[in-house]
Amino acid sequence: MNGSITAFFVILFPLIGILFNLLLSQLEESVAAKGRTRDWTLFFTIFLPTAITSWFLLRHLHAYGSFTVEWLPGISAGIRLTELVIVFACIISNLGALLALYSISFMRYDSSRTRYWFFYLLTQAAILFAIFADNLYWLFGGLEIASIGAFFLISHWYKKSGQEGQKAASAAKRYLIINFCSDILILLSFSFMIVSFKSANLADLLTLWPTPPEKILLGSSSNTRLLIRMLLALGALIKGAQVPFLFWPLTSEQQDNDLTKTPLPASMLLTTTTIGSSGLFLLLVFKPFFYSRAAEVGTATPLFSASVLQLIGWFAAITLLFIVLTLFATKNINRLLIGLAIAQQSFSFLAFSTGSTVGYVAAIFNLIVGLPSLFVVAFVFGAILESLRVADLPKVAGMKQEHRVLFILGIIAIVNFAGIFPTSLYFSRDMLFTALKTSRVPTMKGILVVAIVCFFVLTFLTVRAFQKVMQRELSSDYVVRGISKTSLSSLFLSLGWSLVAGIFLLFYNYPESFLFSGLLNKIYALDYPIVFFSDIVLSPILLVLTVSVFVAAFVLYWKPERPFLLKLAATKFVVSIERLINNGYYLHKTSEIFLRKPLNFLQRFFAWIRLKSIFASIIWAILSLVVLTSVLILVGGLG
Amino acid sequence: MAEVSINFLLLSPMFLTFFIAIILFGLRKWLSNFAAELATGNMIINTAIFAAVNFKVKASPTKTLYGFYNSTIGIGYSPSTSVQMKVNGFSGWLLIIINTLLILMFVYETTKRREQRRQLSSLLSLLFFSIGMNFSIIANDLFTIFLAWAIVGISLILLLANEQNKLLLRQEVVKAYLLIALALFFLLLGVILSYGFLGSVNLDYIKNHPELLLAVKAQNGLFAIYLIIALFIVGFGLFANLITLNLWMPKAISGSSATIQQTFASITGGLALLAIIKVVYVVFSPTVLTNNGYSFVLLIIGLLTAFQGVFLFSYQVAKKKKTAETFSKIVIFALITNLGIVLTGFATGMIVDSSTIVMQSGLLQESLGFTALQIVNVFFAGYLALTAKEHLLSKRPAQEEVINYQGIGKEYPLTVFTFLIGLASLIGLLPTFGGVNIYLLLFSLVKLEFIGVVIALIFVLLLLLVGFLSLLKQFVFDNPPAQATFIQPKGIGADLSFINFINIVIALGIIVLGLVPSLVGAPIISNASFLLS
Repeated sequence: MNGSITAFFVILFPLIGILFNLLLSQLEESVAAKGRTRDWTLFFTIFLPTAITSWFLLRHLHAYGSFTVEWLPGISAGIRLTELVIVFACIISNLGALLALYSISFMRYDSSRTRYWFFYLLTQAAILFAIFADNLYWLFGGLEIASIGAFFLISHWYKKSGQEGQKAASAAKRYLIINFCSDILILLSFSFMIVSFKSANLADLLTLWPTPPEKILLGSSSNTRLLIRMLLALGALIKGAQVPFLFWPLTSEQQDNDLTKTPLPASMLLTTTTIGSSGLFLLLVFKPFFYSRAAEVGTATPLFSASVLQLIGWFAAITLLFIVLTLFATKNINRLLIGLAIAQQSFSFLAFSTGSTVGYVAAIFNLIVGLPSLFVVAFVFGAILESLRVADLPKVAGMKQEHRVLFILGIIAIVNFAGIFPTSLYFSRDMLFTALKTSRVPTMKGILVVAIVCFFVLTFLTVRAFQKVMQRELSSDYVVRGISKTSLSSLFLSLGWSLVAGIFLLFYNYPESFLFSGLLNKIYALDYPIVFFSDIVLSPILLVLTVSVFVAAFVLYWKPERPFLLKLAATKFVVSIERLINNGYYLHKTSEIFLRKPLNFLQRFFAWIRLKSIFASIIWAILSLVVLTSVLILVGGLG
Repeated sequence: MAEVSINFLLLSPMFLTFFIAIILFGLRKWLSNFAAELATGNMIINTAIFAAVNFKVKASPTKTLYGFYNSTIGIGYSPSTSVQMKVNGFSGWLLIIINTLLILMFVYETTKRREQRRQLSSLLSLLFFSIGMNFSIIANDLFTIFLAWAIVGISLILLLANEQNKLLLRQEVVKAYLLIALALFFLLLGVILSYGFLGSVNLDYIKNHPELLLAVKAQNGLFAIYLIIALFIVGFGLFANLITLNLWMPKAISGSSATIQQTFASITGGLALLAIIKVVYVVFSPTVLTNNGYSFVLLIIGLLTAFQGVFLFSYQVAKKKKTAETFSKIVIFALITNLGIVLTGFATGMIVDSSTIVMQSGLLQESLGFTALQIVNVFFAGYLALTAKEHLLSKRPAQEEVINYQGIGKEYPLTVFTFLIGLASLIGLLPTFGGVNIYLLLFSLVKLEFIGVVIALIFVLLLLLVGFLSLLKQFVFDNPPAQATFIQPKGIGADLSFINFINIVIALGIIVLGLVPSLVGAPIISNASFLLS
């Protein structure tokens, strides 16, 4: 089958699923009021075929197909196939299906599942639409529709009683505002691309990039390129939930209006495979904009600018630091998982910022193996959430006694997530650290140090949280429920994926991996002195340190209520740090003073004008005449 | 067969309408039961006559026909205040479109009158309004334009006064009276000053004699010119609901019937914008003045109006306690936003046309054409959204808050469908007619390199989209609240009324025109350059 037709079906299946879901919801009511016929039907008829069809795309990995349909003069809709697009389509379709499978179990008691599936499928279809787009308009349009779907997924539980519902709605609004900032930046970048290079077609833009821009912005061609790159990078970072803006999926404990109020599978979908990864996709798709080291055609102006890559790298590194601090202080299981999901994106951004081929591959490889590893951890904690219906970390305890299987699976999950050899994440981290170490972009060594430290701390915090929920005594107030087979199936599938991926690499002549030739369309081997170790000194040291951190945390929190741990947690220093983090570094005070208060004042002012002044309209009309005449004189002059 | 004179063709619809209105008023005792049917018949005849006019225009080599004085054959201007009528490729189409819309409005009124007994006076006011409106399109001199708008203004006052309760009359409608009077005063002042400085009120004459304007400029009369431009912009702006000039309008009409809201917010607004372009651009041509300043000012006013409209739209959508008035205001502010977008489009067209770079005449035509098409969309999508809204409101007469509309899509799917399609076209959602127009307008603006304007408009469209989705969620996805008491019966069968049938046809038309825009787009776009002639 033609690659474009296969791609078309990958988009079409979720679109059909949206309508099919509405139809099934009617059947559900009449046939089986409390059954899950619809959920399973959707999984087998929509999600699974989408995932399977996406694998067929791999046959066209190097075909570079494109198919365009003209709708209106100047407006066309097209599908573009490249290695990157196909790999992303596989990631989104397959991990989307995995999360859908998990949703069947997690959402089984939810009464608004029609709405849930509607926006789940809409988000997935839109993001697939965006990645297959062959021009900037549809790429942006797809991202926008995905954002709308995300808004409704985040606010899914807005009808929950008490503050929970309000916070869910508030989280959705917050997401919308932050995402809107990202949209504006991306839109500006796309607009400048169109203006400067007179094309909205992606393939054309990548070809035209080394040529002198037809329209110069900010005085020179290098400034034009810098502006485009800078806006694109900032927009992509915000979409990928990174600094410089506030993270859309995460707030402080005090504010508590973030994705913790969203169903766990939906929050994972948004932070990993859809909105979260769309930022990284934007950077990867415009890779030549950031990586090309040639000179401009016809002039000697260099195309490369290290400053944008440094910006991406440092913002991702700072994001990691923020996440580490947030996870240190958090007492919410959902927040822990969302933090880990953002950290995965940060590692991919870090890899991209190195500006090297190995970094580019590492960024994608981190998604391929890192996300399933994250899902394993998320499903283990999710099973606990399902079992206890409590997300408060201090209250959840004693799961080792209640779910022995979960404890064993959990250990495998966090070993895998910690990237201990030979699990797949080990190769990913090793590749990332190699990319940072060998990068020619200045200050990457500093970022490497931050990344390594954050990686260790994240491992420590994950193990700590795991031990806290597994050990200790559970209060008798809580009822423990069984874990559903569907949850366990999802867990096994993701665990299998991430473990098999590692073993797969072992048997496929690593470091001359098929992955590189798949992504780069050329034979490419990592320059490793010893197989499996990128550096004869650093790699073993890091491995030993990772194991040490893991074992230390595991042993230390075997009994989380050790007196010295409790004493440490009660020290003034730790308490004040926790308070600072949990209050969101008191940043909300700033927005209160600079944003909310002036807006409230303006609102009251306009309300006063409307209410009190019955002839305000007439005054406005006469005032308009005077102002308009004055403006015309000012603009045109009287000379 | 003797050819019918163009004067007769142009004037007969006005006289016929006037005659019908007088007959209906005089014989109201006998005719009141089928007055609306008679008025509808009158509108159908008018549309047929204007179709004949348009046919003649198309057959003419210059695609322009003159009534009373024909400037092209040189015997025109005997008296400098000469009254002139002019129909060209663009206004010919506009007349047909407007009168078709009027047929729909009268059909709607007729159906309503069958269900409930209503006063005749509003119908007569609407007939007078149609006279003024048609006159304003074909008038080609400042004095006739003023007279046409005076008829429009007085009809609007009568329309408002007919349906309001005393409280609203005292509080809000009085503002409308005063402001319409003020607008007419500004227009009259503008006409008088123009005549005083230029010596003529005939638009073609002034355009063909740039020395008139240059003489004023040479005598340090720029202040007077700016004052006149400001007078026309503010005068028509009060009708077009431009920023700061529209404060009175939403409140004054939010309690009125859909027909009146459509008359005020959509038709009057759209025609007033066209009047601004026609008068300001032709009389004070930027190429003669060698000054593009006021085109930029109009651009800014258009953008600010769009922003104001969209912010107020978002506020009404986000408002927690929605009432029936909120519901009306949502549509009205969407219309105001569209008028802002339309003015922005026209203003950019004026800037490009008067710039020295003669590059993109095709692009300019496209840009103007899509802007003009957006006015057509404002007319029809506005009609659809407003009538569907009124139909929905009639489902819950005893309840105040719109929370009772949650999930109403499940009860009255056809009405909600038509409402949402109308609103979708107003907010520029693809693949509706409005969506395609705005998309193509933005596209041509990108090609004309108005990137800042495009970004601002996209910002506006995004806000509109967010509001629309919020309404969509409430109407379609939410479950009806337990306390909601919809009028029985419910379901598709019960929802299929005559009005809904017409509305569904319009809604499907809006979608079809979105998918195949050339059906209506081609003649409008090909004649768009007449807008600036």
